Amino acid sequence: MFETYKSFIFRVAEEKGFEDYEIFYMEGKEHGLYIEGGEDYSHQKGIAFRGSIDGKTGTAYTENFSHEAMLTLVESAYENMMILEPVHTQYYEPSMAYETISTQDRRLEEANNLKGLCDDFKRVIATYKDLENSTGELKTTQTIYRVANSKGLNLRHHLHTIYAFLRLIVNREGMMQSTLAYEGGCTLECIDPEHMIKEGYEKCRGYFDKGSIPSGTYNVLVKNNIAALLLSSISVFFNGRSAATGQGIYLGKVGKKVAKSCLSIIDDPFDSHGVFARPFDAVGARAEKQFVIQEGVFKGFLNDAYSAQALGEAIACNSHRFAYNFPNDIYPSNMRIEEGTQSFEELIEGLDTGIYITEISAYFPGHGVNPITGDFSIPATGFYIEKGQIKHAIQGMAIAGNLYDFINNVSMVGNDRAYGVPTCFYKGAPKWYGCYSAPTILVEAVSISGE
Amino acid sequence: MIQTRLAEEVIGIALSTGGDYAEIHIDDTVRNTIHMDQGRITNALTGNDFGASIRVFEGFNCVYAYTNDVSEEGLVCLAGQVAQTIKGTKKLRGIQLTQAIQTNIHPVQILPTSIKNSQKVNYLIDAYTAASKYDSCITGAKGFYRDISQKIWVANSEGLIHTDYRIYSRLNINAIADLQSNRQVGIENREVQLGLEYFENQRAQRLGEEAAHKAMTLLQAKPSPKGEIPVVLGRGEGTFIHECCGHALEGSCVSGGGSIYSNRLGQKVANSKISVCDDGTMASVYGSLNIDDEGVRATRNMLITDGILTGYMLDRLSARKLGMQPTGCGRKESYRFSPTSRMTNTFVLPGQDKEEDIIKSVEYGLYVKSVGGGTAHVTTGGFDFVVDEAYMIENGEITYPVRGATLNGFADEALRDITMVGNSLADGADDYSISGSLCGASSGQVPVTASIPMLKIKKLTVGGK
Repeated sequence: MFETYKSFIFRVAEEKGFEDYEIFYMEGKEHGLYIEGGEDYSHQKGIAFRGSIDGKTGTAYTENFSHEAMLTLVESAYENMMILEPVHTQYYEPSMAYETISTQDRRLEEANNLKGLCDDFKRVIATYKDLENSTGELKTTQTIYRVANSKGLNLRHHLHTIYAFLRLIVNREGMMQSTLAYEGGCTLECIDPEHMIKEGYEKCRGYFDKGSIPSGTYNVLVKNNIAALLLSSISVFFNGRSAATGQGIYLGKVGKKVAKSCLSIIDDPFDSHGVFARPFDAVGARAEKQFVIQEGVFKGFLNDAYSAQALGEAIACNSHRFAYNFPNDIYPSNMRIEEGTQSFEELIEGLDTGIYITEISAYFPGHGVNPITGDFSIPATGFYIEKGQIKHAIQGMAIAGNLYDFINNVSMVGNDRAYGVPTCFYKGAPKWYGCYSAPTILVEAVSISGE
Repeated sequence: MIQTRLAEEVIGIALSTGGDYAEIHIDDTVRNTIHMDQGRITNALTGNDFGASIRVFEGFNCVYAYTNDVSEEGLVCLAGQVAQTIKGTKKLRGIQLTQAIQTNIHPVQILPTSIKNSQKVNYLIDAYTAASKYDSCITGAKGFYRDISQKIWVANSEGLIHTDYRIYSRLNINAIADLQSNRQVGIENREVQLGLEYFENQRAQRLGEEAAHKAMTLLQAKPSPKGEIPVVLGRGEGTFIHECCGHALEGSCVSGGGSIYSNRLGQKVANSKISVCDDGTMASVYGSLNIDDEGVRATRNMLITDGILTGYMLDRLSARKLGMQPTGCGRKESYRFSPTSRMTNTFVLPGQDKEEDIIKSVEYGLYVKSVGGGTAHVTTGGFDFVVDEAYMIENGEITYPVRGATLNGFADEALRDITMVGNSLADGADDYSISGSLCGASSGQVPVTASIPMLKIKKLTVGGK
């Protein structure tokens, strides 16, 4: 059907007078199972159209594939184009060589594999007597992405993913503590129920032994999956479009030292454990692995064609869209803090006395993080560490500062990289593109609000 | 949106393996978003979301499926897939559907679909221009305009077809103020269940000015104090009640036993000065509904009465689990989400205290005038939210602005520690009081409002630099 839709839309676009045009098409299936009972399925497809005349570009989308709806699609894009000013954009020729990524695990199409995994989760949860009322979702997806344009480009990528998202609740004599656990990737092996539940349970159990700390400045250890969430907040400052309009904390920092040598941040679209592995972005640009920070030096922004030209940077392959019904913007694909060599025990020893952060909330730009200045104040949960030992849990504290300083103050990096839950998997959260991972990190001099 | 005969057939197939309730929901939505940065229109996206979902219950088991193949073949196929996963004993046959009598309490004068985007950009340009002129320190503004026109069609095995047409409009402006190396951002956002008539009378300009005013206030603000201190929450800033106890009172949390309010009906959960209501029936208010996404009429629902827990917000499934009746708050963002219990318009009822007396009673504390979003942890009752605009209170007087504060606490303590409740809820002349926000949770982002009279809380943890 794709070729039929393409031919029809391209003919309408040509008649409308578009000089260049493109369609981004997605067709997918999802299957979800819930630990607490319940099941869901979906079949979905949709198409987005982008077209340009005289440097102006308009976009629109539809899920309705009638001829009338597709005429409206092109007409809406035309109308939107008329209100925009000309900016540099790109329609790629079919001449680039694309990396091959293995993101097809056919086992994820088998419902019985998902059911077996769900049974494993239930079995493991049942082995913990005080793990009550826990909920969770296991989901498999299979999606075909197509990008085709008037230059003759016609790309296809088939992606399978699986993820598990648990809310574990430990109930001790009527008092409850909870935590979220996440694992995901492109193969069945990316989910390990025993590991997810054990780690979440032990963390949660520790929260019952609560204490408080005075407000002040502390060295903090940030747990791997929580450091990944903070990386997602920081990544908005790697957006080349923001930089091109004079905004952001890394303006004028290309080639300069912005962190200690132990810190490197890389965007890796070929990481098959990341759920956004793709050989091309949403406009068909060939995906590239890029250092944003390499051994403490800021290497450059993530770009689309417009920002790359405005900033004079060479690579423009991060024009992503979460789906056809979202606008193109610059996002990372699978971004990570590179692992260091130190074990978690060595990090705790390095911390000596301070705070170990194990949960955060409100870490989103515009909600806990100022997307212009990088100032942040984020509610957190964790543990007070004294002389390398956990003393007690701390709930209801907040960490605050500026993300530029925070990154600059990372002094040790662990070897235990883990993935944070992608924002888009939180139902109801903004559907931001991007998957993030990090090892546990030690950050010096962080302001903590306590008593 | 589909023929009654087809809907009856689809519901019949969905129930063919013993389900005891089936529902078909069709959603035809036009969404339109325009982005502006520094007075230039940078992005515009128009689209049509069109799909259907089928849901079947068998006892407490729920199977949900959606598709955007709304053809007869697509719906029949989907119903068959749902039925395959149900293994029940009920034999509901021959469902006959009739159209329910509809009323619309949210009249719209100017439909967004009747106006071209080339005219809508003027709201953004007007707001930008007003913000830029506000002060020489305002160096820029960006924001977006969005409208949503959502047609809903719901039919279920109880035999009724419900339809609704929901119109939402939104304008968001971020004004940027710079002074030497100090840069601050003032954010203003208006989300209403109205058409474009809302933007008449220079509302966009006023929004731009308010964003600029907020940015200028932040420019002059000192860093927020940190630690546990008394907090006065300004009138209208309902994020507190939404996050503090609202989510934990939603049936989906309560019925699974994972909420701090599970099994606590009739118990004292707040200071006796506190009564909390969720009311989806208020005309043209952002969180209101004619019918919910399960075809249940919206209600006014007392949650806490004089400090006693008196009700929950219940969708059909959580009501089943608790042996209670749904309260007309089964909601979802679109056909892609299974509906669940969600807040509509949630507020604390006014008390007896004069606002000036509340301020005077604080020796050292924080006055929170405007807040951003927040999050809730329903198991522990933990909540947090971001403060947009706040001032110090010293010796009973509001003194200087502060920035960078967050507030967090625990519901049981915070509701108990409310010692004073202001005597008015909202200024009726302030048309902005009907603005709300999108609340994100398991059934997607749905429109809500929340409001409070001025409240004094003995202590909350204030996070700041």
